[in-house]
Amino acid sequence: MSKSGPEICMYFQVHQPFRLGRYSCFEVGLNEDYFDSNGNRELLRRIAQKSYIPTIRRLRVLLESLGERFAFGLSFSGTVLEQLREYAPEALLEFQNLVKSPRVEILAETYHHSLSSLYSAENFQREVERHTALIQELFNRSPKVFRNTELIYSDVIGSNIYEMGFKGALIEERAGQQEGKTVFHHPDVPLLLLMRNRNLSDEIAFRFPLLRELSCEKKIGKFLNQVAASWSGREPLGIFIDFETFGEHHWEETGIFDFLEMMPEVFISEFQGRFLLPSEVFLRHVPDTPLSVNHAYSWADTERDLSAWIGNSMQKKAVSEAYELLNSLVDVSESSEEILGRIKLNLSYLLTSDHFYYMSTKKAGDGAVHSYFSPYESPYDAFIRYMNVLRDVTGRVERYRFNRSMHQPTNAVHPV
Amino acid sequence: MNVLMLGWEYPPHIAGGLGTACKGLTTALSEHNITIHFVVPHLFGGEDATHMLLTDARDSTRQIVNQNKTGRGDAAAAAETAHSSMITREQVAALLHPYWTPSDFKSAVSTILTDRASKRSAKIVKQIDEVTKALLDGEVYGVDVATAVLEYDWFPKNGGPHYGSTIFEEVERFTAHVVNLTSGRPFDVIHAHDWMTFPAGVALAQITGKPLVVHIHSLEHDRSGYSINEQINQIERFGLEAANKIIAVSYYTARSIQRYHSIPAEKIAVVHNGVYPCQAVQGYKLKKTWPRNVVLFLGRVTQQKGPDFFVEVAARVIPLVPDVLFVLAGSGDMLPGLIERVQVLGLDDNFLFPGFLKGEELEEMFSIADLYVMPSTSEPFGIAALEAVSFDTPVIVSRQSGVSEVLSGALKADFWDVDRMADLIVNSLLHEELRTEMLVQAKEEIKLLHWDASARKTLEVYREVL
Repeated sequence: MSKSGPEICMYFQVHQPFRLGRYSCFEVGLNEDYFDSNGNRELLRRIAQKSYIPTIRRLRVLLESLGERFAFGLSFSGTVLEQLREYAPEALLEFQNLVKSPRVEILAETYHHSLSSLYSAENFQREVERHTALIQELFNRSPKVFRNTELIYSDVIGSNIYEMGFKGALIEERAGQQEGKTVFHHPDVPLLLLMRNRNLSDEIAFRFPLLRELSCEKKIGKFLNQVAASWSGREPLGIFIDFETFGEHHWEETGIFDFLEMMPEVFISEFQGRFLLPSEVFLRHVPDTPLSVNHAYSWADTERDLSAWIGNSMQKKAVSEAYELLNSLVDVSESSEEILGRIKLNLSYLLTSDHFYYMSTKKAGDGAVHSYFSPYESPYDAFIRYMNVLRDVTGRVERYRFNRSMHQPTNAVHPV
Repeated sequence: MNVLMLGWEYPPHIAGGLGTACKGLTTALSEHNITIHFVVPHLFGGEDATHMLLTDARDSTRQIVNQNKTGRGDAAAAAETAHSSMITREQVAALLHPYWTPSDFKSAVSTILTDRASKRSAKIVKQIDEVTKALLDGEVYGVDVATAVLEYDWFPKNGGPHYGSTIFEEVERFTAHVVNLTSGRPFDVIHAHDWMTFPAGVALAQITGKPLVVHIHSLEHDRSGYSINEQINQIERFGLEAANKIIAVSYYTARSIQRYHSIPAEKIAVVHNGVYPCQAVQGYKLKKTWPRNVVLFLGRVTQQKGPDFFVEVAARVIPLVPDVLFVLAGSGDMLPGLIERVQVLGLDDNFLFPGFLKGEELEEMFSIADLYVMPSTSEPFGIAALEAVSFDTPVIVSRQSGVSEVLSGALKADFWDVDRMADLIVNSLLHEELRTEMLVQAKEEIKLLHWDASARKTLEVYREVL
């Protein structure tokens, strides 16, 4: 057996939300068509052409040529899979073929890329179940490792993840840990945790364009030297980034595809490196250190807290009203009634965290990232549109309840 | 550096944003060792301009009216006087009103003539005629100065000046007086604010060979939409072409100057207006006892300001937010028609027309408003929106405005898009959180929109032309 070099565990996040269309307060009560179907289709098709398809093809070549030493994880939100099926079936097919390789692992997450882990344990579980079912249907896989929306994590969320049957979860880097330690366990339940390496991840996800002066070989050399310097000799380095990093966040002209094509081979041949699947990490590394997280944190923004979604009062109001409405529906018995089914379905798409992310009023660097992703003119417009839609959904719930109460059988004896 | 500035109005006697802008800019410039000689058509008394000297040019012997700090005799007072006399304001006789059209002017003059005909003073008529004749003989400025000199008592307390019977004659008269008043005085740059001062600015530049900077606060196209007055448009173009450099109050205005007057972009510098933070707000905010949401329009009730869109928007908002009060403050030719329109729409209970507000009333109105709406059809800058923010009132502005370029803590809509405007208002009233977040951001932004930033950019323009 050859001398073993650094280990990397990579996973790529594939997610697109259903963005809201123009919806004014004058449509409340009249119009149930909330989403910008044309805009969503166009955007998804563009991303499929610019990012998904060319990236998948390169990943397949790597899987074929590098064999066992190459591997990566993929996590799909339910909302992106629905849109792929609808708007870009050819890209979905490419993903399905890619996932046939045993060196690709699919992770579990919330169906709607939501904040349910924070606001509704019941809905959290329901979303994860729904997501697992969709993965089973489309890829014939059942995920073993969980990753929450934008790596939001706390002890409470961890124990809920464990209760749902997962053995491990991916989490964001956390300050104050022993250097080189990346694998931990939950303090109370046997849930294994792999931490992201923020610096290495950002080197590709954010800072890649800064290297544009360098040749591809130099870019790879610079990156892999950092990998080697970061490796403690024991625990693998987590590089967790958006799939759209390739071709969409960074266009082809930046050289990102050349980087993707060549970096893994250089890593394996020159650095004796090895790529691990997330579940392999947990098989090979038995953690001896507990990690306790009292307050939820995430990989978002410089703060790495929840302020990307609930940083201002608009966001707090929108989140709390949405989950209040959702939780009020939990006690409504699951019926096959069409009206209620449609209301719940629409509401579920409103839980996607991106809606709240667009309402952020942060400035400078993080603000620029928020507005890069936002389809709306301003955070205020994002809020207005969302609240108009939510008011319509709320009104429909009220009308449904009213009608049901009118038609409920009663024991009262009516005069003849 | 000595700057000769030609303006129309000066606070507190203002009809629009121009006077406010002139005060802000000159105050900030005076901090940069710039001596300003400011000439306006008339003074009303009570102008607060300790940073400069202001002259009433209706009577060229009364040059300086603002020397209220002199006479204390001690060294500190002397130093203060030295500073306060950095800027000189002078007043030149003319019945000028920045936003009047020629027909407004005509009706004002006829009213005055009827009222004051008996008070004519042959002596003053004669004096003005002599000055005019001298100027004409010297061919100071190549347009005919009015031959028919009318005399009436427009400002009785200040004596009886003379006014021409049309606005253009008044511009000519202003030009003649300015030239007469300022020739021989030292200045390095001529800085003329808006079209009425352009003939004077150009004439002085021709006589003295000094560089001319023209400052566009509003264009005829902004004020009059599609029915522009071609004569004003021509004077505007005349000034823009003759100028060494043009200052526009926004990129929006810079684009308009290029589009309507075919001026090359490199001749135009954009200097956004600023705003002074307001001290008095908290008191008013505490005083607010109005039970209803207040949505405020405050400006001239004319086509340019879009008050008719305000009414149509209100008609859409009221059914959804019944406890709202729309305040349409200001006066103008559209007011009677809009009052009628409000009655026809049956919105009387939700409307208030307090008329033209100024001073404390204006501050109070800004303070008690929950929302300030500026639906202007073409607004070169829109300083009132910044003032509203300084009074802790969030704003909704039309995209056809300069201020929308500098304020991201605001909601924006095309002025004609009344449905969107109504949607923005409804949501602002329903969600306090939205108003709060807008205001937090806007307050941060107006900190950067201080007059010193405008003064520094203006200085760059001066250096460029010198």
